Amino acid sequence: MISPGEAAEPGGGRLWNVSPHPQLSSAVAPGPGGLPVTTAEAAVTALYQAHALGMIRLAHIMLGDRAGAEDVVQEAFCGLYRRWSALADTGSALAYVRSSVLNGCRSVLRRQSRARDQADGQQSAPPPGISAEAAAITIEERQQVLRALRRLPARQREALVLRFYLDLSAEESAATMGIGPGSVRSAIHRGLESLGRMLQEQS
Amino acid sequence: MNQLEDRLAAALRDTGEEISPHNVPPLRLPARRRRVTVPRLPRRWMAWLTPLAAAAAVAAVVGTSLAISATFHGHTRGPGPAGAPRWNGSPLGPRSALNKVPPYFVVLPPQALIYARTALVRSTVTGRVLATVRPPRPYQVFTWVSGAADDRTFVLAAQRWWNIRSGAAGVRAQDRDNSTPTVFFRLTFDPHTRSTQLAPLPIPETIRSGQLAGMAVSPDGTRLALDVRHSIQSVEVVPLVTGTDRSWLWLHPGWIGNWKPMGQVLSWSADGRYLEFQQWGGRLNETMHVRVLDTTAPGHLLATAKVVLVYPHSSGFGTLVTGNTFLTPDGTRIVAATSFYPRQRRQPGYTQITQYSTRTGRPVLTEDRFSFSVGGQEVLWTNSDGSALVISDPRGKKDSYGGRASVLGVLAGNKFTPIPHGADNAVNIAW
Repeated sequence: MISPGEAAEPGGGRLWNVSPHPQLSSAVAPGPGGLPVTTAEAAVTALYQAHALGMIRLAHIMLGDRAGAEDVVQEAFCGLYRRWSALADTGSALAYVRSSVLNGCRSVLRRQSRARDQADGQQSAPPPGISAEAAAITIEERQQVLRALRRLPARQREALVLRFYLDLSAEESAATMGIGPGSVRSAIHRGLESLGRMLQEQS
Repeated sequence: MNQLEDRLAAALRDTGEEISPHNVPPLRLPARRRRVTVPRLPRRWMAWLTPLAAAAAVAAVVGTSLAISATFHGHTRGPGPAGAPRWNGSPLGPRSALNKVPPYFVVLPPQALIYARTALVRSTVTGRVLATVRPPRPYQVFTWVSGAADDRTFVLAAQRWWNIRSGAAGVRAQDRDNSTPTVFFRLTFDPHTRSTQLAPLPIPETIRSGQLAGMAVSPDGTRLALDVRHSIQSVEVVPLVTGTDRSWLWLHPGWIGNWKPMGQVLSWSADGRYLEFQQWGGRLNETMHVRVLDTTAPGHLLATAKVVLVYPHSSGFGTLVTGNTFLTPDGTRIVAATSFYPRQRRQPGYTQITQYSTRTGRPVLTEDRFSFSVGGQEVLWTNSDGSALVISDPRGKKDSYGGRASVLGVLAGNKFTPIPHGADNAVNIAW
């Protein structure tokens, strides 16, 4: 019941004084009367408690690897903490973390693909964290969708996940991905087209 | 949404929900740099301090260049960053060490997402599967297992579980999977006939699957301790034969159990009197206490349990525990896999098996140290005084991240003896 990140929602939420654990709220030292907490540590920790679960889930979808997802999210929040004082608008911290998580996932996937290339073109074995779970996924249909999704170009894949997992609007996705809303819509359109084609080929 | 979008949304949602709220690790923020103020020196000192500083600078340059030169000649090149030592655990031990731990153990392999459709009884010495047990219908998966001290009695928790095809859902996976009641069975293994017997246990209370965060059967197999997360978290001890259960409440911030409740969250002393558990503080960076509850003492509050160890997770540095902690059955030690997170980057981080005195709270033994880059460890069982442990450590096959897979083995006398076919990929495991 009182576990970390339990009430976190994938889509995010208010930044301040939001804790999934009412008991923890006071520990995070929010300011009086709903004013923002002032110290970076308390603010980032509160943000982490509220959104870590959603972020780890997002990274897990992108990477298919739980341990890797945890590392990426950890690094994203540490990055936020380091740059807290330079953040122009602390209200945009969640978007900043979301972008960092996507960037981190991109880097991990790039490294993985490089490692695969170096292994004489052989398909590298899945990491231990994923193998047990991948082996355990029993819905063939879901596997197909995920396989197809992971074959898409990074931009299309991210646009689809932000739209269909986090329910972000094109504008919100654009802010997260650092591209224009038009490009997001086009990436979603093309991504769905390619996904449909690949799934049709598989079936 | 059209059908394709439905399928995509369902696949993404189900994949995301593989991460349960209990899987979120603590946040470890980097250390804050402190601004050091240098006291101003009297002006008259500056005259002779200047040449001294110049000489020190020259010495530093010469020293650095010598160090670089030596590094390129391979003299001080270490396997880790900046020549940091790389630890690879204790040396291998003799096969006879396998006889120091109970001969049979039960593994729950992940077969349905994170759940096990079967429980496997395996031999510690040969690693072979001696029996396979399935939950009786309508229950489909086992979620927890705990072993008594007689080598052949185990308690299993089971629940109903089913897949819902994408697009046909409407209820989130965690709700549909975790709201069904948990049922408990006693598994008895007969090594002579290799037969098993599964008998339902009379637990009076209905515990939804998502509310069970751990369990431990007492050494004599007569009582079951449950870590239950209702609206108020509690530890309950249920007599398995007669009588009524007793519960202790946790009324403060935080929770009871380890970070990733997939191991042995509670442990008993040999006489079944003391029950050990972890209590996470719920403060910044999660201070964790290891407590020992006297189950014969009056009262109904977990806060009265004695604190034997404190891990102040100040900024996430120092020595931390994120897995199981065990009270040795003789009650003298706490055994845990501990991780050392250095405050300074140049310092190497490592994990190791640490034993603490329950009397003083100080470490009395450390063994089997591994560098962070190699992988993690877990303690899974301890004998009476901690001189023989079952652990998992990262000395398996190399993985694609440069680390190594975890394997099961016996740690005795700072030597590790692998259990045959002991790849550690279990949902839960008990000796």
